[in-house]
Amino acid sequence: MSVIWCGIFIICIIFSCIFLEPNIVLESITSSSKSAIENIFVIASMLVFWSGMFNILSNTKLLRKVSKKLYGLVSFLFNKSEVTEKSKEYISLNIASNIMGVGNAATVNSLKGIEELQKSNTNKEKLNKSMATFIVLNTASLQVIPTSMISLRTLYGSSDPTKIIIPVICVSLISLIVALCSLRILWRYYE
Amino acid sequence: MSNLIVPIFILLIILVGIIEKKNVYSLFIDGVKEGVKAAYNIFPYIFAITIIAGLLKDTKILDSISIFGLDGKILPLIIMKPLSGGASTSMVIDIFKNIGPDTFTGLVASILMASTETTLYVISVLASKVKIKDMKIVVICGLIGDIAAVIATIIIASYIM
Repeated sequence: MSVIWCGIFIICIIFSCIFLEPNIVLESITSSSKSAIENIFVIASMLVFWSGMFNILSNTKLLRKVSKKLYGLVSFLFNKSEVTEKSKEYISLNIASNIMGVGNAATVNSLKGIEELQKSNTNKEKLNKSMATFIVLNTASLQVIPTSMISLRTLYGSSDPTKIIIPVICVSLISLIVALCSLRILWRYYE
Repeated sequence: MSNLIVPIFILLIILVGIIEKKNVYSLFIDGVKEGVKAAYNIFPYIFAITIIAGLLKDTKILDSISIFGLDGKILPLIIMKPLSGGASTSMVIDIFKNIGPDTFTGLVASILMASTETTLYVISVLASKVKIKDMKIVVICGLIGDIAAVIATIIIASYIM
């Protein structure tokens, strides 16, 4: 992360000093800082709401029943010795909210899930395989119906806004499979 | 149909809580407390990402490069999407306005935007929660997945165009 962050920063500053107005750097930082503060309020408001809702849900018996079934679907991805009952619940809830397209709810469950996985992690400084799998699952979108993109296309006058549904499902599946396979392959070098 | 999912889901949570005789209100309050803490903890990471996403956008550094015979606007989108959902959405809107959603570029932008996630943003938020610094492996795998998505999108888009 550090390499990417510094790299982009350095390239942008050098580029704008040579080819553009150097003032752009400060202007850009000022406006992004402002929008970062605005964004956190938007993100936080929904995060806080769903966090409250899921706390109710995670104290009920219903969740345990549903999560057992959902987890059965993905259990082959995770290492049994690294996953506790509690983390199973959050993993399944996270997948369910991603598929339903409730992004904010998915964020809450991914934070809870990674925290639970960390509790049973033996080396706290290092990712274990289940944590890495869980993060990769979250970086590859699992959304089935791209509702917001369809409405955006409709808004800007597309003659066939839903044309993208099948391609989106194909592409997100391909990217998910490629990401998970590369994790399997690269994992032994990491260890 | 799909706009019913969320309200029904919320209703279900509350009803299940009542049926199982839980103190729904205090459970909600406890959850909110945790949510506030989580939001506080992820803020620095969101801030850092937003700054560089803004720099990339405002310096127009990427607009000068064009690849795959596409309009020069696709590459900036490819690079922006892993960093920021907001900035990449505004890029897609820009493409829709100036080139149109039914052109090849517009189609590639739509599919790419909907089928990939904000990879680096997701990783930095999750990393902040567990305080593990070495995220190299998931950054690499996530980005490999994104590259695969770009290639697949271009192939599929030219097929259905």
